[in-house]
Amino acid sequence: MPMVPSLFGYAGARGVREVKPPIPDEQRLIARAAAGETAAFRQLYERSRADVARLVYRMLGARSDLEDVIQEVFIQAYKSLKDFRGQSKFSTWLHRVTVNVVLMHRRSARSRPVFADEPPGDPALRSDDLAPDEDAERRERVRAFGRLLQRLADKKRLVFILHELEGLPPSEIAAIVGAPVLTVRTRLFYARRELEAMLSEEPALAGLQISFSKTPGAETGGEP
Amino acid sequence: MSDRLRKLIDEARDDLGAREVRDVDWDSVDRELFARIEQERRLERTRAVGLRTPAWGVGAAVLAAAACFALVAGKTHETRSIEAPAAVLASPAAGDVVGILGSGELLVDGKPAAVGATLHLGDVVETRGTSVTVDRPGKLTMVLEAGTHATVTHVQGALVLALDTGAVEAQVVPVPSGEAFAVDVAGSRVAVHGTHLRVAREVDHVVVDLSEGVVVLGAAPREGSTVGTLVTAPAHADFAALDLRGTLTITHDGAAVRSPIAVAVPLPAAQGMVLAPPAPPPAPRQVGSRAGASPAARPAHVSPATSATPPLATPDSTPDPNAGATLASVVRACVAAHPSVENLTVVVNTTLHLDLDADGNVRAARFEPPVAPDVNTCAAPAIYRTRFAHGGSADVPVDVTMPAAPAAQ
Repeated sequence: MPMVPSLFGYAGARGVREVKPPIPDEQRLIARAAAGETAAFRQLYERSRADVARLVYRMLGARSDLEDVIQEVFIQAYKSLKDFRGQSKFSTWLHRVTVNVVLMHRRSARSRPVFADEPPGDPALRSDDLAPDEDAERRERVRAFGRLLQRLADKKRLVFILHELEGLPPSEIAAIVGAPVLTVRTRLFYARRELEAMLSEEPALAGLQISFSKTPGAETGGEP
Repeated sequence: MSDRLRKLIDEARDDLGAREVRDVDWDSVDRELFARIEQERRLERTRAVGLRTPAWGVGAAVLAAAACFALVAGKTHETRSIEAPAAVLASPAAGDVVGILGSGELLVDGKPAAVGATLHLGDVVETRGTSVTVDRPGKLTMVLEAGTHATVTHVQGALVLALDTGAVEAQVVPVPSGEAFAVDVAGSRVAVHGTHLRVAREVDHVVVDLSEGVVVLGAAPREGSTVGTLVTAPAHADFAALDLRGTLTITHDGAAVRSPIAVAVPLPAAQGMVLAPPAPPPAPRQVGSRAGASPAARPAHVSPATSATPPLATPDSTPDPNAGATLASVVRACVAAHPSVENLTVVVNTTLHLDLDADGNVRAARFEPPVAPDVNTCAAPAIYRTRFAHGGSADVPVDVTMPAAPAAQ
């Protein structure tokens, strides 16, 4: 994949809120794309597709139709770009488009059967297939955590992912999900509490508590 | 939050979805996405054509019904033939490809095209290593220079091209009202009332070279005439497509204007493959404040002193064979650029009386009946720059009808 600057403000660096340098031609690109220039839209797409794909994956989990959903996000973005007035950041607007498409996709997916090619997780990395090396352990923890996220209700999972994984502040999340900031904070609180309770229920994570406790310099998490 | 959950979040922030994103078949997503986008664009164009055609159809039906009513009612008024021309019921062609110069290729909607091809609404035209001459009979002839990418976005009445990149040079026949041709660059429009011009775009930088006539530079309107800055020849203008008002610079120095090519339909003997050679640079036009021009002798007089760009005499100016038509276009553009009250249709019927010296230069000018002062001010620089092919006097009738502007929301 070509290295292109991200339009989303957060790149997911571990424990560090990475501030991307401003993109001087972003406004021009948006205006040109809104005026119907496919080449300009392509540039916006190339800058943001990895971020959109990651968010789609985090919200939907492992699915065979990941690429279809990514495509649908950008089709909706293309159709709606004329209505983007610049009142919010472009990244916030694109998050909102992504969230709407994913939620719509989940709603329609509930009404159809789950096919054999849509396992809840990668079978090769199920908890009973742990590889001996540390990387494999870490990958499994992440996979298991992803499975826990899928057990949260949509609204709670959404604010949790946007805040804890995508690094967005509650005020921006409020704009994306169309809810008051207080509601966002409440959903976040319950999402954390439910996840804490679920940790012991997930065999892969329950067993790994020991390895965490051996790690020196354990941090204490703070509220947003 | 427990340390365990915090650490899991930290790991997930880096890793959750990272590998899956790397594994996405981006080539496949790109291909399908942009194929769908192209399909969307085509649907939009079809809808645009569909919206116009029924409107004309309904209009024709209403007119036909009115005509029938007039005949049946047997009024003493003269009954005029009210008949919708068949041509307006279908979308007219944008023009025909009449010349291709160079070893490259012309693509229309991604497919190779040759001399004789007809361009239609929605066609995407790309000139790769070749310049292409397109003729819209009786209306305009244009050359799309090599490396141009443009889309035909309007064909009813005025021809409008959306220029993505490259350059278009056109010779446009003046029209009695409205605009004959326009080039859209992002949200900005170069609206042409009859002229010879070249519009070039490189990314967001736009350059307009105007060797004859008048254009209006402004935001592209959804419908109706373009309101913006009136530019009269000779002029060299450049601006940023997305900030026309903030970046527009204009010079009327003839030396700064790019030499026009002779845009013409190639002769049959040339088998439609040769463009006329570039013409010599245009001599700067008559831009003089004439001794005989008595400013404000009457309210209807056109005063050169009110010009924003004071005219300067240039001895080597050449006569304009279509000077009358050019000036009529200028006045129409000035009326269009100064809209009146909302919901009011403006009708202007006036004659521009010109007193010319032996060389064809305008010594004095007046409108009868007078026009609004801002129209007077707007038209003055162009009037006093124009040189006729004869001396004595000239009368230029100007009829303009400006449809009512929609009320502001």
